Amino acid sequence: MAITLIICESVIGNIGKGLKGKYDEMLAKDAVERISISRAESERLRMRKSTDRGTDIALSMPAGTRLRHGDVVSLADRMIVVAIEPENVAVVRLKNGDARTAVLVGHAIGNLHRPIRVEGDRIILPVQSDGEVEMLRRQLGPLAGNVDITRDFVVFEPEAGAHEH
Amino acid sequence: MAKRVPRVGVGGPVGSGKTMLIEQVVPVLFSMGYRAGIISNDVVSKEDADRMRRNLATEKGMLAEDLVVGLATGGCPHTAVREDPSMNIAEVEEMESRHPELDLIIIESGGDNITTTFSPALADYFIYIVDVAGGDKYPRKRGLGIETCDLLVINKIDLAPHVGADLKVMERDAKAVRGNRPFAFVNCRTGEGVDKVARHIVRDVLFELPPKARAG
Repeated sequence: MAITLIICESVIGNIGKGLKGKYDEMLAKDAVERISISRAESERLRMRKSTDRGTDIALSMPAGTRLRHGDVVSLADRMIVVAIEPENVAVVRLKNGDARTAVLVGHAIGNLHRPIRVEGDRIILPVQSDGEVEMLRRQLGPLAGNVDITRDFVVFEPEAGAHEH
Repeated sequence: MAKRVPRVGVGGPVGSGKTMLIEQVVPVLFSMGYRAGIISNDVVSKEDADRMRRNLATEKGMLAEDLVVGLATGGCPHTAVREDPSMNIAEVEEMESRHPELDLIIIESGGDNITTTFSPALADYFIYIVDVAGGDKYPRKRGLGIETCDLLVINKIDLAPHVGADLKVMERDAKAVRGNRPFAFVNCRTGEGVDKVARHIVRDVLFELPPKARAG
């Protein structure tokens, strides 16, 4: 059996919130290790991963946990931080506050059954290929003057409650 | 509250060998001391569950008969394990509460197409199985199952020479599509390669911890 296995059973905090000071402190001590997981894996409760430094990690989280970018799952002599892998997304920006455009864009994107994230005037949704961005452009073609569609490669964390199926 | 029992999902096309893989891997895990329960989804019948119950429970005595549950899901098989897994989750939770001694619960999806995946709310680990007779182009053609599963199992390797399939091509393509995530060649009729599948489950799902019965 692997002796060095670290079993993590809860999220202790997030480096973007309460643990920021501690993170900086551990960073200064060169004691931060990261585990990379995909967005799909962020909803998993149980998995085995290696950190960027090769430490063996077993995650066994309480029901209902969703891992977020920057979550700390172990904090002792080392801090183990979750990093969500960046992915391809389409960014649909509403160029003006027109309600009609917003509803039509929402309807079109809703029909794709994807998770979304809304940041200000931008709607962000994951895509698998350039072809999908093109398809979105065609679908929203009639609204071309009011929307702007670009592609990006970022950490995507969906809105809670914006259910996909 | 009793500890959550780890869940392993097995999905794949119709006839790829999902049921046979489970029939082969459960005895290997059993010999290592691990106890498994099985929930088997079928669209209409409960034939797979009945077969596994007869083989693994009644004949081999490796698990209690109530530890093989058949679920006739009716609609699209993937719906029951991904979009709305509530029926399966209810069965898993019931089995877990009746049998907290289990080391794992295996959920078999009904035979489906290449986009099968399991909801993370249902399965902690996803094994996707295809067979050589589907053609050696299978891994290269991708699909959500092949791309996202934790372990890709390629079954019926004994048929390769008969269907003109090149295992080297499948190996190369599986690596190209899946990066360094694992795959295993197996023959579920003979059990060849199944120990490798068991080792992945023990390492990645059971964390190499001792079986509950032995841990006391």
